[in-house]
Amino acid sequence: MTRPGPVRIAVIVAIALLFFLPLWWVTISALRPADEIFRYLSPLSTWTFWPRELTVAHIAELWTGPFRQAIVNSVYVTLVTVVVGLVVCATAAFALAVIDFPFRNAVFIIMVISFLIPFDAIAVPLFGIMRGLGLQNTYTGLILPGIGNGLAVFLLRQFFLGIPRELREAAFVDGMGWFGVFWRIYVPLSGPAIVSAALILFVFQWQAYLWPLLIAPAPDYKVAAVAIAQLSSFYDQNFGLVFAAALFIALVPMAVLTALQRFYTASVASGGSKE
Amino acid sequence: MSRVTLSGLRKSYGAVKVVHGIDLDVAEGEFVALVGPSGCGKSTLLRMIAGLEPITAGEIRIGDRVVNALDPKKRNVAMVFQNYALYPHMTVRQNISLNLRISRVDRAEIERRVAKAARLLHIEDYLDRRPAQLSGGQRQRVAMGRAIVRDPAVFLFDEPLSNLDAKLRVQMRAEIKALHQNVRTTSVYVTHDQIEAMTLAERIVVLNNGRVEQIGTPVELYETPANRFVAGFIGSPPMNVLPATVALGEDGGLSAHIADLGAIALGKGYDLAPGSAVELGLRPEHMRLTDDDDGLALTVNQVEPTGAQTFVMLDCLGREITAVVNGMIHLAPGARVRVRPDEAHVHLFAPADGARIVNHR
Repeated sequence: MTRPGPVRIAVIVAIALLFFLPLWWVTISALRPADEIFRYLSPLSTWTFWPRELTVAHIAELWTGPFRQAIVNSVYVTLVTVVVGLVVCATAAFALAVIDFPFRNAVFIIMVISFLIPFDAIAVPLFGIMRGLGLQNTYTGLILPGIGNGLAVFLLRQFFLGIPRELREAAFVDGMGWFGVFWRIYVPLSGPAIVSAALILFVFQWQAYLWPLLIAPAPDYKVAAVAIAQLSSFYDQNFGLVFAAALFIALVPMAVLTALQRFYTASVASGGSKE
Repeated sequence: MSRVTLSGLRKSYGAVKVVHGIDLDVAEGEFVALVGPSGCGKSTLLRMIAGLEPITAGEIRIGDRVVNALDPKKRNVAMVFQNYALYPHMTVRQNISLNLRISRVDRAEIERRVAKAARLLHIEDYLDRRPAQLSGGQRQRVAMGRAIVRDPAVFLFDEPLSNLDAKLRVQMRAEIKALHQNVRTTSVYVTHDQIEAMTLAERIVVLNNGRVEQIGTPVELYETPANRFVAGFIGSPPMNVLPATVALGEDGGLSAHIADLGAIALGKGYDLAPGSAVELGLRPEHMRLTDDDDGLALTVNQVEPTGAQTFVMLDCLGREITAVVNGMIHLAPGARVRVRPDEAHVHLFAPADGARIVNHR
């Protein structure tokens, strides 16, 4: 492979900086004293991107104030969504890929269309249903819409379709039923696809804002994304805390995605291929 | 091991009928091969016995039980698939022992049975490897190990050797035969390779378009094919079939005239009227090149030396026929030769339906 030329390297560095600098600025803003945050924005100087003083006061405040409960809520809701969502989406995908039942393709098409509809478009009627079920300000209300994810089902189904039919037939002859085939054959063979589906469920729930705002506004059930928006008001703006919170909610998915990206790319690369 | 009985077995996919009422009785411990061209329904038949394909009509019995409505796991059958179907995420040991673990067999007993199967199939050294780390032949052995470890009522083989190269196929064929002689489990073996069927099976079922053309021992199928299809399918190279007319010879016996090329004595015993049209079946190995003037004078199209034998393709009334000659023979395309068919091995078929015309002698 030839080495890229200087121009190419410059372009690559420029694009990388374009993505990196906002995150860097958020990071140092979270670690700066409050009066330093916007001080060096205009004109731009070295001090815009390099802190003169460092403080962990905002981060400490994040963990001692009411935001802590929001973080706990977000982690709990997201974890439950991922675990329950994987069970729901994987079993649905298995049925759609493997079990022959009437209107299977119609069900699949409806499911695919469901993930093309923006969630915001159905949030209000869904809120009406959930409130009717008495799920306002409950964890169940927060979690329930996140567990059936059309994109995750689609991804898993495509992966399952690539598993040779003979494997499940051999499993049937070996004495397994449908659940045995799913649990002992399809799940162990679908690691990358399951990781990808987990990431989809994770990101969907972690970054959810409108739905938690509607269904769980009570402080005990408030999630981080909602809490961060309420950290500053017209009269009281603590940007240091906002940046610290924003940094935290960005770092968690970044860490998860970085750790699992190789499974994700493996799945995306093979998800469309069939036997 | 158990007897397998199929009665009036039918299979349709919507309006398309693929298996048309098959009756077959596989005796306890017998090795039966199902052969036929692609799409003849042989794999469908096997899958119906396994319970992987629902049947449209008829009855399947394994032992004394009617198994029509039973799941595969309740039929006590083991199947070896064409592409091995080994579980890629499990080791050889786990692949082989899976059924026993599902059946909650005692751990020590599982170890004993796996070790026995591994010894029988010479795969002791690979037990802790994954299928991806094995060659095609080793995977095939593991697939067989998975089948025999269960001590099932019936073995079902679905073209198990078709993914192997020619040399390995011959070796594995011998191993399957040895295995059957060792365990004597009732076996149904699907193949499109008639040589595989001839060498392995005690009886062969020839299928065509979802119907049984003939059931018999390899020798019966070879020596007395029931019709033109079986005659063409069993034997390699396939039987030559030529149009002929029956005539009464000077000795009172019948003879078959192949246009003006010559005649072949049929002897007595055929219930045929002089002048009637027949199809004459001549196996390539029953035709020999001769220097005599009374043989059929034919032109050489092509010569295929195989070492022990030479296949000589000849033009006969615009059809290509084959003669097999022992050893090497050097003939140029276009050469004129004389061929004399072995009169003791002549087959006659009715032109209308291809059925064998029986010699009553």
